[in-house]
Amino acid sequence: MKGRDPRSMVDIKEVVVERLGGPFQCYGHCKEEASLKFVDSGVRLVGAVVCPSGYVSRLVGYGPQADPEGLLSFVMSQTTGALPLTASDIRVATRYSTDLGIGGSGRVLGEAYWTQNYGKAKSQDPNRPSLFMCSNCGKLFVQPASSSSSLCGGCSPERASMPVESE
Amino acid sequence: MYVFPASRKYRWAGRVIGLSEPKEKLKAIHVVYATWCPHCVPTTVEPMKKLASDLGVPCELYDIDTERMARADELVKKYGDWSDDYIIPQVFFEYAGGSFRHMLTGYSEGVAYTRRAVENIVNEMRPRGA
Repeated sequence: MKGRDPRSMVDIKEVVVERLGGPFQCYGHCKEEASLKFVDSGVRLVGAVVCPSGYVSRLVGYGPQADPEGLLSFVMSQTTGALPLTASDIRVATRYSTDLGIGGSGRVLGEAYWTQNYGKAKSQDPNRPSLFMCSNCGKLFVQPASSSSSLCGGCSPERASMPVESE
Repeated sequence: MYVFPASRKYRWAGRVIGLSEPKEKLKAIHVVYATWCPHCVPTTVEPMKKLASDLGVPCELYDIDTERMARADELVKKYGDWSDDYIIPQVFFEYAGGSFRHMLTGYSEGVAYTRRAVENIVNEMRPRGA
């Protein structure tokens, strides 16, 4: 990922919260309302669209320009090979002040999207490995899509040894 | 129902955005879309056809499921938000001088976001009284 400008990151976050901050509907998991939660990616501003069960419908990387390689790298680091991922799973969009409705013209930010269980990777298997956000510590983790737990292994010790099988 | 906040100006990367730039003479509006996409039809295509009519310019439509896909890909690759499975709709303004300006990519956040973005563009571009 490219260098970080703390000043612009803060301002982009403000725009994201105000203009792109949800609510949303959970995609591919349930019909519940999902919300945007920011993830500590280390570098880029990354948002996760998460339903009350913790299922991650989408991860979005925000920055002055879309950074699809950076988001792909982040998603791969979080899913540790459990989910099928390729560069073509990341899509990009540029947002301008005109379409964001803040007057005038000019690029405001770029978005890179990864939508879970979408496109060629789409699976109907209820036990497919899926990315969740822990409702206790906020970490991303992989478990079967049908799981009723919203806690990661670290926050639910009895589940720590539960294996997640890759397809 | 999500209520979008009122329009305002932001300071971004050290400069204030939200200031109008000079406008060239518009020659045409180009819309890359698919008929099955709710962000496209009617959300984007119909307002853009109306805007083009109000502005007295043609609205060129590129259905990605037809032979126009090649031109759609070319527009998106040259001027828009390209990826292998690129997001639709994408809207481009063509100016009399031959330049193109990418105006919109559909919002994966939801159809309501795309609808609002289209409304913002139309409100910005629509001639007074139309």
